[in-house]
Amino acid sequence: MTSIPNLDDINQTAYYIPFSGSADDEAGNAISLPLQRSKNDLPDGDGMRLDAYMKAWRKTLDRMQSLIRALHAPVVEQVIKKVHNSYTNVLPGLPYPELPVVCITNPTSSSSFINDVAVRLDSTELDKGDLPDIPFLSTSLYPTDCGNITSAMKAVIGGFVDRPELLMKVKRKPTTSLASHDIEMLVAWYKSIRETYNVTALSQPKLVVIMHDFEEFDPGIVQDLFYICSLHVPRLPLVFMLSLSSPPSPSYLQLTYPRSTMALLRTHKFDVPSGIKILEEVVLKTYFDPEFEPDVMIGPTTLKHLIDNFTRQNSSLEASISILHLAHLKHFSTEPLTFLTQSTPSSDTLSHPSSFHTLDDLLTRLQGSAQSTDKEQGADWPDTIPALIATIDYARTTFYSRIRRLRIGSRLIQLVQKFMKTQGYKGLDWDQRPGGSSILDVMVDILRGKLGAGVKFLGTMVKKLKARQLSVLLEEIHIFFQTLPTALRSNEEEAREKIMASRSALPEQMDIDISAISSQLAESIGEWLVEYLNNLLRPLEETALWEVWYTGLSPFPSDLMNPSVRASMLAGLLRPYDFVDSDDSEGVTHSLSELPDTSILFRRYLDSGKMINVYDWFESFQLELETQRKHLRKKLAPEAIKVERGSPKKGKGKREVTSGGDPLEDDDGEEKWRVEVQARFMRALQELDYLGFIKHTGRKADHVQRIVYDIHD
Amino acid sequence: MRFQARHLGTSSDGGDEQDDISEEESDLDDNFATSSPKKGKSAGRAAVIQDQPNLIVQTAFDAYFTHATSRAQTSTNVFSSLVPPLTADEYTGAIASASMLEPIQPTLLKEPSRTLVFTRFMRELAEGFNILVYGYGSKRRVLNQFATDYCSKAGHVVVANGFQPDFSLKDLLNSIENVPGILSIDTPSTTTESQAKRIYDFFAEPSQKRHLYIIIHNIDASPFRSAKAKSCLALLALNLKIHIVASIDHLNAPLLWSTSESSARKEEKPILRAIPPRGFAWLWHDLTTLVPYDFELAYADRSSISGAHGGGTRKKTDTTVQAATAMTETAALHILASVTQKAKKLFALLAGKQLESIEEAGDSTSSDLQQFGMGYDMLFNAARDDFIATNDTALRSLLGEFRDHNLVVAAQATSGGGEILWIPLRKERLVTVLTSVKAEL
Repeated sequence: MTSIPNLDDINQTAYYIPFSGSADDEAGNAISLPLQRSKNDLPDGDGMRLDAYMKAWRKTLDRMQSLIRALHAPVVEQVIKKVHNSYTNVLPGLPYPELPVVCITNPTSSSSFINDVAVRLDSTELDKGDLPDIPFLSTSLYPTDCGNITSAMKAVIGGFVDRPELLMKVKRKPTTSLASHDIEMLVAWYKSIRETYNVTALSQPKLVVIMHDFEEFDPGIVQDLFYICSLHVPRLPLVFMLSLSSPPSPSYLQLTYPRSTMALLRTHKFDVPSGIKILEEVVLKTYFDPEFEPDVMIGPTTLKHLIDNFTRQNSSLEASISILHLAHLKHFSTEPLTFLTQSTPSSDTLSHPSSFHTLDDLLTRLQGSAQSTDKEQGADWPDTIPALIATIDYARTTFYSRIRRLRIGSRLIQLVQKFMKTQGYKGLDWDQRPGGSSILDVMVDILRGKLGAGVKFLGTMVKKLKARQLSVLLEEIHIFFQTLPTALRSNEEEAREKIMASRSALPEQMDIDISAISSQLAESIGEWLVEYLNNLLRPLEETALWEVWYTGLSPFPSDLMNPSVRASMLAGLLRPYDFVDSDDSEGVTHSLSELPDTSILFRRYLDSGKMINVYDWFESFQLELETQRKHLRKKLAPEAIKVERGSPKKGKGKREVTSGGDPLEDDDGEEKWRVEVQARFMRALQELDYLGFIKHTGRKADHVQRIVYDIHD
Repeated sequence: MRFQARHLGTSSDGGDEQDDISEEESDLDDNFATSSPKKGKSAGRAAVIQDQPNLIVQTAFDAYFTHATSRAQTSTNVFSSLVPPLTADEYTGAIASASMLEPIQPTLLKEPSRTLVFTRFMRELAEGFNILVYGYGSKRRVLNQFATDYCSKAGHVVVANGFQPDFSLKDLLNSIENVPGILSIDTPSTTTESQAKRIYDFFAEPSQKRHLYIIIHNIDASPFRSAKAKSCLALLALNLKIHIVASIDHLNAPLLWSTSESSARKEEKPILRAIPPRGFAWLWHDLTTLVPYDFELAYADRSSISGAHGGGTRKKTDTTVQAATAMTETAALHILASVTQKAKKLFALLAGKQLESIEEAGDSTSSDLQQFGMGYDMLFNAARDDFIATNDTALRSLLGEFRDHNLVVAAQATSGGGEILWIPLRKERLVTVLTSVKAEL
């Protein structure tokens, strides 16, 4: 422990604490950072849950990332192609060569798209031989790099030149070398690259400069940058790629930059797919796709939070992934039984005495679910460990098959709804829902089991269909079943047969409307559909041990991503006792004088007007402290009496000493008290200042301005 | 939203409600007219008003507009003239002996909650998030404990005290370079950017197994607010093997980062690129400790009401003023005791002129003493008239001693025309110092 420096040293601003873990985990990976333990854990429950979590989250994340990449892929491809051809099909006869600029409008302002592009552009596996095959060399430019034109040029040039893997670094002499912000330096470097690798003029690599957060760049500097670069364009095949987050029209570029600059550029615009559709695509294909099976299903509350966050606060996919990430993390760290997610531990582990807490918990929950649901699986109560394991395994398969059916159901209901729309009917009013019009809101309702009325309505609609429409619908449902994965299809054999039978029962000639037969058929299909859908969409909570694989109604800890810092600070100042979790403080209101100094001062702050006179503030604070002092003395007084009673021998003399010697009574004590009040006032005042509650305007002598106007109730 | 709701409420409730509102508002107006903080009597009255059944809940917006429309009426009492400032000794003595209440200890800081919180932090850091803690109270001690008990078991740790006035990002980066091996990567340049890049590259190496934990106390402090510091940190923050745990205390600190910055994610499989991505990947945690900020404010000037005010563009001038006003009577007397008679005379001259101009201004409250300073030329003329210094060199050498010890501060005059000199002592103290100097002369 001697290696830990004195962190309370006021004269040092930064400390280094060397690694002090055990030396044998030299590999680094061996450091286990477990999840929080709970009392119902197995001996190694936290580790097992961590493993389960890793597997589950990795599976989901990989799926989502591949979906996002697939969404971005077409645009990335276009962008790459455009950059690639930026110097080939140049319009002939221009008075001067133009600087190719690719504008990428990315309203979600997340960096994932531009990263995808950058990764494609920036293939670093460069060997001596294959440079001619590499079409691009790229660098990134951030707004903070460009405080002035010199540093901007330096950043651009340095980004290309400082690559020892491409070209051996030459020792530069300040007297004879070009300055590092001189574009001639880049020209020379590029020339030598071409000579070293024998690049032909046709296949010369383009130099791509990616400008992140383009709106944050100073336009004056960027104008100069563009001007300088455009002077060297034919020799240096530069391409600028601008990442914009403002809407494509009115174009930021056109609004901000003058004609003289725009004339130098040849701009191409690309839009990154964005909006709620993207989220729908990713979430539907991750959680509601019969072809993919995540280990853990998210509950309606998490899904709802995801939608709200995307539509109202931060419509970036990265934030959405983080939300799901945290939901997984929370699920596995708060639910002790999640170690059962993928597999059940061996009977040896479970029969160990230290696992009894867990078994207890497990059996209680099994019992609970057996009582609440029908007895289809709870018939034989597990009385041995192997039987218990079998029950758990059974619960797992039951849950997964239930959720598979839920996915099929959600797809089927979308299919019917879509069919109704194409037929020109209103269908379910998914567009005019009060909560939102996203298809994901419908999924929330499905998970909550609130779609019963909707299903019934769709059934009624189907009943009223004409023979021709019915045949189209049946055809579509039939195709839907055909496209399901084989394993799922075989489970729905019954439904498929029903469809087949109904199709063949339809009259061949639909021109003649044999109303009796078709309406009868429609009636039966409608009824069947309602029953079938309701069966498919049964709530997941009905299965045994659903808590393991389903986050259910547990709320999402939204404070982790979108905190209310202000509210927390105000609560800390106004109601500090709320942060103490003791039983007797329930409902006890604390008077102002019982609060800490800063809280007292802050309360007086909230009582005052726009400007606060520091002296008056001080006086009001003093009054409150006087009350506090009285209380403290009252509290101390009985103890003093006790002391006196305990030593009756000294009698009167002692009493005189105590009253006379009380430092708070005499003049000296009064002076001391005055200084103390002032010191405490200064301390509280400066704390409030430090927290940013005070503005010194200097407009009036010793006045400060109030910043927070929240009401204390 | 709430503002709207209030209006909806009034319109739907009909006419008789309207009267209540006007009554209510007139009550409020009365309340705000006595704009300065309430003392006993009016506080009692406020309580009476609160007890009345109040159908309309006043919101912060309402309060703001009510205050903004009315003229701020406050008394003419001036704190610094009515209450003599405390010296540093008086302050520390008073705080040490103060009969304060028992400090409240939040449950979060007691076992077993604390272990739970710390394990959770470690897990979340390992998941690729960085942690930002907020809430009222100094979080320094808790985070330091986290650093020594948990982080140092898992990797190298660097703790930075952002709240200290002389902190700079360079200190943090230099401390990180104490990690064995970093300096062997050859990057000759020593600018902060290349230093950050070097650290990033070192921890991005697949062969580097040990992680780095950076604990930043008050990442909202002014050294971290600059664009340069932010970009350096944003670079480090997205490295898979670097983890940041930072605390914020300022009310508006969340404004420092854009949503895309704070929601950026670390790349799971980092691809070696020339310019890596930047961002923070914050996870926010409420860590209300209710502990006073004594350590953080150790540098604040306890004798001035704006002594703890830092940050913003004025930070730089603030620190010089802060260092300057921290001069105490004893320190001044010590310096004066060791200088020549002539220098003492010069001091008395300057002090006398400064007191005169403070008297003339009739406002002894401003903490900015520069306005009462004296131009160098004027001082030189006055000094020559008194035979203190006959030429420029002599005067400068006399002043040199004072300036070295910050007893005389100089700055360029704002309205052109040479140097302004002043003594960084407030009026009351300057008077006592001047009397004792004159007694010796």
